[in-house]
Amino acid sequence: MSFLLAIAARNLFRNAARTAITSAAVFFGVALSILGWGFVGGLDENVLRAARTTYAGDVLLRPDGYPTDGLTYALADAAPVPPDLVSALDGIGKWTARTAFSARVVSGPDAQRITVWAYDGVRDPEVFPRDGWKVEGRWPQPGAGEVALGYRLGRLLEIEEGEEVVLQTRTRDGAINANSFRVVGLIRSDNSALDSLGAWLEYADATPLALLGDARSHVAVRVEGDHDAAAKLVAGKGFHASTLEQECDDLLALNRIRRKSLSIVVGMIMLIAAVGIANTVIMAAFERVREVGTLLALGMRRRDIRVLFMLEGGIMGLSAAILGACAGGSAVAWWSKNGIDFSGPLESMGGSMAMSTVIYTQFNWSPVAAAITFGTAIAVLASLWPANWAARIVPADAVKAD
Amino acid sequence: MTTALLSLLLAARLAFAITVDEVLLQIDKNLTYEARDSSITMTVTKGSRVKSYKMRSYGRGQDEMAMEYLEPARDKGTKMLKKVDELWMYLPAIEKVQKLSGHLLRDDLMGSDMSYEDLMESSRWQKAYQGTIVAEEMMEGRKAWKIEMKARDTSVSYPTRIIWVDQASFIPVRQELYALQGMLLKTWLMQDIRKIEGREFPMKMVVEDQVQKGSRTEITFDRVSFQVALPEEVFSTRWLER
Amino acid sequence: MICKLVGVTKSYPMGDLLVQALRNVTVGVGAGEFTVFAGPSGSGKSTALNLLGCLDRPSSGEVLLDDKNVASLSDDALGAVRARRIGFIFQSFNLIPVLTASENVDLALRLAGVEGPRAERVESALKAVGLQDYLHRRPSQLSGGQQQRVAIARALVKSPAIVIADEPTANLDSTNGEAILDLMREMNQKNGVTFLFSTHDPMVMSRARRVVRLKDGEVVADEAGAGA
Repeated sequence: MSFLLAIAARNLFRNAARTAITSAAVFFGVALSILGWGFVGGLDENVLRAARTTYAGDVLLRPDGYPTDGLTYALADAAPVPPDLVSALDGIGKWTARTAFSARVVSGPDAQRITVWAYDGVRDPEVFPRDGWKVEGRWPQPGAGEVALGYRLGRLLEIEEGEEVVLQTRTRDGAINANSFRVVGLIRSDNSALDSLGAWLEYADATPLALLGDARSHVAVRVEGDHDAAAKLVAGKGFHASTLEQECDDLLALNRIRRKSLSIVVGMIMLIAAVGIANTVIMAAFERVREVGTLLALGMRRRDIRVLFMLEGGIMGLSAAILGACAGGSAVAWWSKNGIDFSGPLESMGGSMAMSTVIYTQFNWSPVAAAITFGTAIAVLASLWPANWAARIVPADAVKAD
Repeated sequence: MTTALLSLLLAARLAFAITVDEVLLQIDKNLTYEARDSSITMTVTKGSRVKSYKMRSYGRGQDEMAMEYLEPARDKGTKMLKKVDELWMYLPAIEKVQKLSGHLLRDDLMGSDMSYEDLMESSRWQKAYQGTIVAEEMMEGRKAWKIEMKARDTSVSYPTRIIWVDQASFIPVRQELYALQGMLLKTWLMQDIRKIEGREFPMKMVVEDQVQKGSRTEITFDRVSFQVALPEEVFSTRWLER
Repeated sequence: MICKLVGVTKSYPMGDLLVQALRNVTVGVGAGEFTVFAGPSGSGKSTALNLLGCLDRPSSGEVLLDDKNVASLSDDALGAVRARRIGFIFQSFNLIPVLTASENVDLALRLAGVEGPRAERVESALKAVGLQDYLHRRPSQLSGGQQQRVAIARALVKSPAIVIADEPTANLDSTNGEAILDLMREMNQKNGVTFLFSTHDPMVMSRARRVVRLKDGEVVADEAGAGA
């Protein structure tokens, strides 16, 4: 077996270019699948992180009847947090309430429709620790007429810290109100939607602007342990509760579709690779009829001839798969530490995805191992028919073949 | 002190030979006509960006208005129909009639400084506001009453409106629209008042956003005619799709 | 007798026809012989060689090797017989291009199932053909004559009962061809290796000790050669 392996390995170098081209398909298939899985895994993690650390916490409550599409923020549907809900919330963990409302931010000649997030500067950081957020400047002081903007919104409007902007909005009843605020901070959170279309306003300033009263649109809770159980404890008290996972389900479902289409693409590449390998092995068999005849004449068994050719396909598949796994795996491993900054492409997409612009890929050994196994298995299977053909060569004629 | 204030108020009241209600009623009357057919040019300026639209507009009474865009090419065929409190749009790109309601009415008309709601509101002043004539002064070269109007309830879009009404034509030549906490949001001018077919009519309107610097909309009536026979179907949703 | 065809007929299908390559041939090769099967192409000499070399099976008749009939053995069993008992030398040398000279020789030993250290046997086999300095050359780095010497070493290294050489000099110039033939002759004489050739080259026939002439699938003459 070991000398068959040696012969097979050497045979691969006889037509190095052909071997390389054939291996390339396996290489790319394996590399792409590992990259893709690492990336989509990172997207999953990113989606959950963005939701958990910027608006949902572990359990998110909205007033009954409040839209859950994450696009419309109807102030009229916001509602006070009833006392029985407050005590239930106190029982399950740290919680904070916010009120989102749409507004127009105007800076000189520029204006932009945004969503203002009224928040409680004491409770908010207890639920959203703001780890890894970048704050240019600082967070607003309550009641000081200060506002913080998403950093991309700030960049879009060319606003520097210290400049004044006007926030114009409708009160809960419908009257238009507007006021000047000093921009004291530009916030880069884990949530691209907040960064590009969000402004942060303390309740002390937001309440007179939009006449919020006690109306709250979001209550985020940070809990230890089971989210579903926690959600049940606070449900049915005028607010409906959803867990982080339910909240992210749409985006996670999108990622499931991404995984499926990735599998199809990888499958197609692997199919091409399989055809390539079958072709290469059958070409090798055609070219080496005399050699196979000689090996048979010298007494090699037919099954060893078959093994020889399957080894050639297999080695090609295995080495390409290992190289592909190294390339894909190391890229995924590197990006899992350093992250890929997607702020450019996301900006051009409008950037309204509730996710961070920096995506950390997810490195796991199992997809690496699976991709190597799959790539090699495909190669071996593709060599099966050509190897069988070679094993059926008739030595008496073959030894004299050209 | 109280007596002095009272007598001052009384004096102020007596100083004007007309009441606010009478003025507002006259404005309403002015805006009511059997039929109106006009060609309009709308110029929207945002800083250095200028966009021009041409449209044809039909009106009947106070509550019915139909409008069709003629230029530019990309908006040609867009139609709008207002009936009392309802507004429909027809967008040729999607070949569909859409009813605008709720917050959509707060959107700007073609990116201009007027919302759909602004266009629909003028007929409700008397109902929505409590007005006081506060002065008589020259405005836009005309002798005008200055009327301060406070919203009767908190759902009115502009909580405060100050208008200057031309005493000769009963046309509000200048309006200032204020936010709840007193910030000036918009000014709205009516200019070039001419007598058209026996009726005083402002041939030009200028709306300026006072918050967003350099944002301004000018509406010019290129042609107005009141003595026209408008077919009934112009004010139906069928007309939109035609 | 080392090997023998007894009443062997071999026919091939060729299109719709059945071509008879050998018709009822009986011929054998004894130990220590240096025998040539001669005849024009199509005479059946290659077929006879293939049958005696266990590369093929007869349509009818017996093929005896070491007095045992091998005509009906399975492919693998025939392969095992070839590996142990028969050395082959081919017209086109048929070395394995990815293996060095010594590896080519070693391959034969390995396939013959030789246990224990083989390196010494490989080396002395190559030394015997004068290639002790070329052990690690690949076939592409050797001349035709040298390649055929490696092939001879490969055939002989396992001490086969018989070496079957099908036109071994056809692809060589006359100088190299003669040298190869001299080498085989020397091994025949010194070590008693049995050789069976096929050829239509008079020079080869002139070295043979026995010449069997075939024509149209039949043995037409069996005579002592000039080399006797």
